[in-house]
Amino acid sequence: MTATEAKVNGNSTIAPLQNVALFTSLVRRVTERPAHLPGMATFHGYSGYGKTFAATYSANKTGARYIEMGESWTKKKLCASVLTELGVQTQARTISDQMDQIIEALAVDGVPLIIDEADYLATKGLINLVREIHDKSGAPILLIGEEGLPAALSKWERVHNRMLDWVPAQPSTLDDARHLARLYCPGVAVDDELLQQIAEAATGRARRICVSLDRVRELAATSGYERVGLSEWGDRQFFRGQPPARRK
Amino acid sequence: MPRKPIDKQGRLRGQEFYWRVMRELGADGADFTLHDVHRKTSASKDSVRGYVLRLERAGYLERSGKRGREVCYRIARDSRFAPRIRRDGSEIGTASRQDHMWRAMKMLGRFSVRDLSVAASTDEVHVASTHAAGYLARLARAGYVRRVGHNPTIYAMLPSANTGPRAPLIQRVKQVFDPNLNKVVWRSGDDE
Repeated sequence: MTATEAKVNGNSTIAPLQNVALFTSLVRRVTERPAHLPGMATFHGYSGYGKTFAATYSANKTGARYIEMGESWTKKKLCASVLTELGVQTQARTISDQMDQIIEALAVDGVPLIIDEADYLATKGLINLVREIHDKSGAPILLIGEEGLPAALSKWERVHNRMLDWVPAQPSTLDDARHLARLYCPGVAVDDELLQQIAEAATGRARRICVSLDRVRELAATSGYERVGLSEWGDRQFFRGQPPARRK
Repeated sequence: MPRKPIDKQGRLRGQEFYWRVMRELGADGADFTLHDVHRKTSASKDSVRGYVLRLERAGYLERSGKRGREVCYRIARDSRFAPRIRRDGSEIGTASRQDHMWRAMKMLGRFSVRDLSVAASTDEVHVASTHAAGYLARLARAGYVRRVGHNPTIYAMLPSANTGPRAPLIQRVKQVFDPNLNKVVWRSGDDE
């Protein structure tokens, strides 16, 4: 049993990352808020900061429901997607009937709802639907979006009043890069000077750090290195963008 | 009332079905007895009783009085899915590795095996990359994810693959079962 327990600790999870801690604490605050306070919040920041990645930890801890908005979404699509994510099988055809079912399910479940790419809520005016879900179900709702999300949402005064907090995601630090190296290059010691350069090339974007670390791991595996520093790395390129395949 | 087509019929069984009966009987705080529940099922009274007692121990049901010699129950704590409770009243933690991976997959959209194992692990549930690789390989066969990149292998969740909150299960008989659809979505031998 001890072997398993040793693995199950903070060091093998993303919990120590700065953005994971920020989001986890935000979810705790909206969930445990006093009854008279609103329960919506934003987690916003530049693309690639690892907002969604950071949100997975708390989502799994709290059993949160999650949807990702799309450019083409209508009210109907939003309702249908939330219902699917809640596991409600329904014959309800009108938006108002579907809203009743969403509200009931969320009120019973008592878990947070995370809406990603929430920028589309503002551009499409769907935000009032979300506000209604929040007001009637009492469920905490977390909106994840780009840097401009708070400004876009503050156009709606009634929405603005529902926000408990607006939390900006932070660029990755060297500490984050060190921890990501533990997760992505297990069994390989990555020198701080190399990590420093990887983090700088990534301009704070966690996603880019992960791609560079994948390359470090590959180099270590193919060359049999247990430690990779600047000399092992040589003049190889750091990952600066142009992902061959975006993680998200 | 016309009969619903077979694929629209709720084919809930066991505790899932008893719980649904109780939620219907107990809607808006109404009382019901063990007999009321049993009458609506085809199960033995003992198996219904066993579940009712567990629900009471875990605080989902409370006694609200008597009707003749029978105890009346009321729903004290609601849940949309049947609570899974041990005999002593403690709840069976429902979040498994597969549940964690399923949620993380839907969130990440595109991910390497390592991304998934890292994002799906918490202090309570550790998802090793071998687990992630195994789960993804099966889900790829069942048509939920597709390989979109190599070195490292990148998977993408297909848009139609989000069937609901419950993780598709890799069953020991080598098939993939989706509890959202109540359907076996892949069987060993399907693609051989």
